[in-house]
Amino acid sequence: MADLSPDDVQSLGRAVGLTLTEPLLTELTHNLNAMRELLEDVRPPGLEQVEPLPIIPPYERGEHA
Amino acid sequence: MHKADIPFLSVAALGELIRTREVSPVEATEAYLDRIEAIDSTLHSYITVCRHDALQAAREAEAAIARGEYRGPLHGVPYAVKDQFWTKGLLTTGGSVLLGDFVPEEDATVVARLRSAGAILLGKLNMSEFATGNSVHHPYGTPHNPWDLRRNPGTSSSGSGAATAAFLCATSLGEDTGGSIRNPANNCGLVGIRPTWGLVSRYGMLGACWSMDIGGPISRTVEDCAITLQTIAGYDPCDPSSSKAPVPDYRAGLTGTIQGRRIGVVKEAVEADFIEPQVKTAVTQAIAHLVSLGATPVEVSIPLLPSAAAVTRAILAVESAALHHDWIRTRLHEYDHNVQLDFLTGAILPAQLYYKAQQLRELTRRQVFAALQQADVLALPGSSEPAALLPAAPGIHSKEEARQRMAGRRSLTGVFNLANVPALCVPCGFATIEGKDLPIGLQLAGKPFADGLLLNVAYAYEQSTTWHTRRPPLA
Repeated sequence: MADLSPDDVQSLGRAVGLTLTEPLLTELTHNLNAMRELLEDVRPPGLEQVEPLPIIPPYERGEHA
Repeated sequence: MHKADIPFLSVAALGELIRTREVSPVEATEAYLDRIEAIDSTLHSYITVCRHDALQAAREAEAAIARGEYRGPLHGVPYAVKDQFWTKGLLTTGGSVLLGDFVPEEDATVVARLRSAGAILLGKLNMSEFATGNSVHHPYGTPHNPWDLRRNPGTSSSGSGAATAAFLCATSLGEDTGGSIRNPANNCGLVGIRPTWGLVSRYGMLGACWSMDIGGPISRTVEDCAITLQTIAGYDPCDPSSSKAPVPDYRAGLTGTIQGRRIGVVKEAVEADFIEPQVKTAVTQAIAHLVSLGATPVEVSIPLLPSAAAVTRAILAVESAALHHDWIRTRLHEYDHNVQLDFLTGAILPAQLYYKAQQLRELTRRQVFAALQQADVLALPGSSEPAALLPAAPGIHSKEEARQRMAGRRSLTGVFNLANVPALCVPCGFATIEGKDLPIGLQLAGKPFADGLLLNVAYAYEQSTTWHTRRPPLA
């Protein structure tokens, strides 16, 4: 996955109503690319079948000690 | 007893002396206030000290006990709370200038319960801004580690760690989203428990990441931790996510007997190459010690543990950014530089990545539960290294630097907040770094609502070792 450029990140910011400028913009680009990379690197088998269940208190899921 | 010696008593011992009226709550409160005045200008563990109110509450406690209206082991005992919890009529900043004039009109539920128990609030403790854990600038003073003043007491409940370790309160409350109770406990040689999510009410607690936030005690002993947790735990109608499961007697459960208990040694943690050698040795010896007490070691695996930090950061970034939606757009530059980066990252992270993070969270949770089918408690280091030197400067200068910050030690704690199971840290040794002895913590994790079991295993370990009896140089 190619890294995002600062221009790409600036566009993402505009999409959510944020005006991003330097010096934060470059640092944010590093941060975002790092997070994207770390998450993309993790590809456990069967992930596509996993439903991210909303947080339900353990006692309601019947998972007591 | 000499007043100056009172702060060095455990909650259990002090509570008993107060019950028998050998020590007055007023004496105890004055003793702590005197120490805070003498030491805290160096440590910066407190943001607000409520001297007048504390002494008034102490006088009321003294009078009530004299009338025979004794409330329990915390009656008259001085404590402090992370400035993340509402305190009625008392400034609550969240460690930020953005809340520099916020005075709540009511107590957080946990504070209300401590007040009802007769405990004496000394003040509000310093913290990383909005509990993010990454802030460098502390507008109310940078907290320092009593074991080495150049070092971090741990984040984000940094003041709770520093104050408790330096005997500036008998016990304290912190809050743990990704390790923020366990990291200060690890760095300061204390006992801190991240309770089962839902065991402790979140009402009146400034949120960081609602699906992982939970308040809990940071104390000097396991028994003190149990006493404090007992007081704050339990269903709260103000917090619908709080559990209705009955709260056991944690203190009574401290038998010290762990014969036959299975200790799951988490191989991805113990074998990780980012664990400092002295930490690895101390934790390995601690596990061996538990085995000598009758426990049985079992190797377990949590394959997704190494990615837990990144998954936690992604979820935390998005949920925090949502909480701070308006201020990110109108007051961004009033936040700490690193906090700005964290919140902005969460504000623009693509939704599909957040979704993947949640999927990974569910898978991580399944792996943790699978490990907990093979063992009664899991054991691993509380951190990959002892307390680090305080950060020199904010900012991120490369993608690689950003990757480092999202990995490493944070995976050791993050894995359990993703699963929302209880986890605690107990002192298990010291590392010698640049001539200073720095605490090392053993982390234990368990099934939901097995908080009592964790405390008992930690108690068995603590009572047969002496790590918890050592005092930092500053004390």
